Amino acid sequence: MIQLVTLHVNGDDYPLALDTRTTLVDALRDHLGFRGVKKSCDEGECGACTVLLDGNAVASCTYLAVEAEGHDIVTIEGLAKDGVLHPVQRAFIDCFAVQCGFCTPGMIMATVALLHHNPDPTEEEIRDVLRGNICRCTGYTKIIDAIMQAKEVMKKQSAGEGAEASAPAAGNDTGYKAQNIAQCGSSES
Amino acid sequence: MADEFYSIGKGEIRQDVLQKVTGEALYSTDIHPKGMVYGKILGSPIPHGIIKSIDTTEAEKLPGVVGVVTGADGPDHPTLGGYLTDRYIMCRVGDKVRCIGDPVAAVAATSEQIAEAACKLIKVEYEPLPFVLDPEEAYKEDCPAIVHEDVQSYPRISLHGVAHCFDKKHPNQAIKRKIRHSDKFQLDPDSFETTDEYDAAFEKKIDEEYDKAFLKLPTQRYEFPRVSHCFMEPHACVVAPLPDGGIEIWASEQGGRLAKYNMAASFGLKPSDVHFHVPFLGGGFGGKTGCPCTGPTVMLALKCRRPVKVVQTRDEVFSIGNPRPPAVIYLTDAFNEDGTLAARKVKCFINSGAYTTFSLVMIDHSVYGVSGNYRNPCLMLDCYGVYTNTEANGPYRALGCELFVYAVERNMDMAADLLGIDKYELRRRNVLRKGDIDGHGQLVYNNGSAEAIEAAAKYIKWGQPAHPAEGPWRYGKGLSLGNKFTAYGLTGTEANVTLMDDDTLEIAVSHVEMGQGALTVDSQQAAEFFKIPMSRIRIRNEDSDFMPYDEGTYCSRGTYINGNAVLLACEDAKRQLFQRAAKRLKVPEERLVTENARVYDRDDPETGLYFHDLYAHGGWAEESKLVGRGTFMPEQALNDPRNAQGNPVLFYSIGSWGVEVGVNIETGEVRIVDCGGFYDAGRIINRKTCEGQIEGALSMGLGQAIFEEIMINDKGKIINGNYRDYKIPTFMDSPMNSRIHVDFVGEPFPSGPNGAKGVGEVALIPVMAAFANAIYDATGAEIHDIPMTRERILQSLRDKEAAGEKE
Repeated sequence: MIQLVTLHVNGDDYPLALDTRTTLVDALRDHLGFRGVKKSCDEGECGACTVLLDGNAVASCTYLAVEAEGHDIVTIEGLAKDGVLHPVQRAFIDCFAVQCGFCTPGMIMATVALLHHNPDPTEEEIRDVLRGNICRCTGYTKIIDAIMQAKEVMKKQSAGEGAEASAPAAGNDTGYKAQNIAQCGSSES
Repeated sequence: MADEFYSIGKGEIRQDVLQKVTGEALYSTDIHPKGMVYGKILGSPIPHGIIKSIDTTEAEKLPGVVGVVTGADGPDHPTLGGYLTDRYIMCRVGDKVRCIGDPVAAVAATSEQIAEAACKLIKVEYEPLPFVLDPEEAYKEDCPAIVHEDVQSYPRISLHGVAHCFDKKHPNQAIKRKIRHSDKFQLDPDSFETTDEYDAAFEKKIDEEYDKAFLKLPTQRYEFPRVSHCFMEPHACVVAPLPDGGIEIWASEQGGRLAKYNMAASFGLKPSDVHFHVPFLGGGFGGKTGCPCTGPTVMLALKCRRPVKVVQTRDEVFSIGNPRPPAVIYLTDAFNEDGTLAARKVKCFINSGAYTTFSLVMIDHSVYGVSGNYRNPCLMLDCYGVYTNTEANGPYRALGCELFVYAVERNMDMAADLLGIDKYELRRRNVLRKGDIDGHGQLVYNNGSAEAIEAAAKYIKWGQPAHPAEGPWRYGKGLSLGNKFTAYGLTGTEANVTLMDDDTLEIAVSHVEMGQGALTVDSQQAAEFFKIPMSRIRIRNEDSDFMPYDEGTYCSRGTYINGNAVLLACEDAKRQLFQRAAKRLKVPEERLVTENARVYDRDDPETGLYFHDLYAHGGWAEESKLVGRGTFMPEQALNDPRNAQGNPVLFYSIGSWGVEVGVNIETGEVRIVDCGGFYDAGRIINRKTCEGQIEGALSMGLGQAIFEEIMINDKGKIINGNYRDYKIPTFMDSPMNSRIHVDFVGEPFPSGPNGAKGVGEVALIPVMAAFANAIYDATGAEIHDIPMTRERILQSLRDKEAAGEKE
């Protein structure tokens, strides 16, 4: 059965005519071209397809697209704002938390949701919450490093925001322009 | 590392990382040409049989179906197999299927769902044949199932140490690898009429050494399962037919150049008509060497004249995804009273599955697991590659070295206990040192075995007791030492380096980026050479039309072989740069130096020019664009296939782990208390990416040790092809960050690019053995069937208890 739906993705409305069986991951990738959303197991086991739905992490391969209507969907493509990376993206770069990169979009979205719900998680809590996001390359060590860095940056950021009323991220020490990326190697200890 | 370096060891960030954190990085699954349809491959439901007929009528009628192909649409002879061409792209009517999942037809349709539904409408009639699943059964003389009757007539290429080995008595045997080495006696194979006579005489001699020895360990049998690479990106391929009759391919493929020529030959196309792209790979680990869906996808695209995409489901990755072969190793060791090894006999059966694919490479490479770390005064090894009616197996990170290392390392611990010698001390007495002669008769150089295991023992406080027992938890320590024979002198590699008119340095290589950091280390080599920041380096690797030659990215050869080619290309570019600059600046070439995209007079730094000064507007240069070219061919490695003696190894990378684990004797659960890994990979070009390889391998090795096994039922069908039933380590299984330590030992390798060797595979090799030794130390559970699952640990403890009661 074909149904008309409007998906609200990364701030924009997209009207679509979809087979009601279409999963959210297929709608996002194949119908809308958000191919940063990755499909790996297609049965909710690996977390590669994680997107945000009203701020919560969901496995988009186990979510029907028609059910996502009326919800605020954010994919990896919608995370950087005005060319400024999200602190979680930045931390994944700095800490070498990325290897093949196929789990990375899902891992980053799951981390954003985690830090939204729990701004100061312990390593045990991070491991527990992200247990559904599988990575075969890194052994998770450097992903933990990255999340620890992102958490500290975001804590400082929100403390700063409280004091000076929501200043945009750009310009402070955490936000930075994507084009400056290549200059920003961390120095080796 | 010392400050003499500009880029090496300076913590450069990854070249590919911005694309990957923003979702912009393209993988084969993301390619979507205009008018693309979706393909699905139908596999055989039986493990062995003859295809009597195929009827596709109903499938073709289904609305949305664009085309159906069967073997009749493909090559009429086997074209796949690398070193032994034993496989059709698609099985044909009248011919055989040899495993469940063997492709018999494929459908292209406007959606994946329609393609899948159409596959179910294809009617295939089979005449079942007897089948064999176990390699030792298959090796037997009276095995009722013969997988390849015509194996002797298949085209083949030999690889240096391995013989294609066809034997009427053992019709399922296809490959054999032998090592014969002795410091104690001399036997020249040339002095025997036949190799069989040489083998028999050698065995007699080594048995005498065994009988003379102080400690004779009974033969130990170690059995290893089939395991999946579990890369996150499934195998994927997109093929677009072009109006001129050519095809454009995007595939998750580690050996793009080989695949391009293989597809061209299979379909009667000119190589220049096959445009092969390798986008980012979402993990490879060996399993994307010969992407299994490329051939059928080409068939669909050529027949339908439309772009077609085939992405394997996770179940298909498990069931036709080139996993690591199962293997059985028999190890018979004898030791002298002082703990040195007296004699070692090894017999191994590797289950190649229905087709050899790259098992041959595995058989060649895996045996160095026995010979690369310890002295082998008397060594006899026979490794057989055997066909069975199971999924065709392929290369897997470490190429089987981890299996031999496991067997050796378990035996070392066993011998130490029986001799009453400390386990570290026993290893120290046997470890290869510079100037020794190894099991191939080769002089030992640049081998950090002794240093690595010393560091691992020190880290884990070897000699001090593990944590005391607490409730059901028992604690124990384990040590292991492994090696990977890395790079071989059979194929060369090219690189180009272009100095651009915007002061960018552009590198072109065919080094596949699958997460290991290929693009980053190659860029660092150029950055180092030209003293130019990484931000000024652009590296391209994706397109076979424009990229220089490289056979493929595997065997941990990338950093070494591509790095050397990049350096040679840099030298060529610098030579041209200085020529051109000398003319323009009127300064002799020998006075010129370059850094930061500028060339200047050493004696008068004000006199200089930038790369862009060599070009006019638009990039015009009278002498042509400044392109440096480098070709690198490693020294040819040679050995005698009758005994593997010679100089077969260019270099070894080495790794050692010291681990402490806790084992719950009521549940069989294993927890990592602490672990330290120490690696000799030559000079480390990028420490963080190297650490990442090793940390990832720790997790993968932990999975191999205690979870991972592709299970097949008695009909040859895989029964756990998903992440629920085939468990790989998650965040919860890998150790807390404070409990894992990685460091590097060893010396720069003189012929490596800036001293580098490979690390990708050696990272994995010692891991499984270290856990096995620690689990035994903690509990006394002696497990020879890998993985050491909770059930097997508990069973072993129960068996031990029962045996104790009997006494």
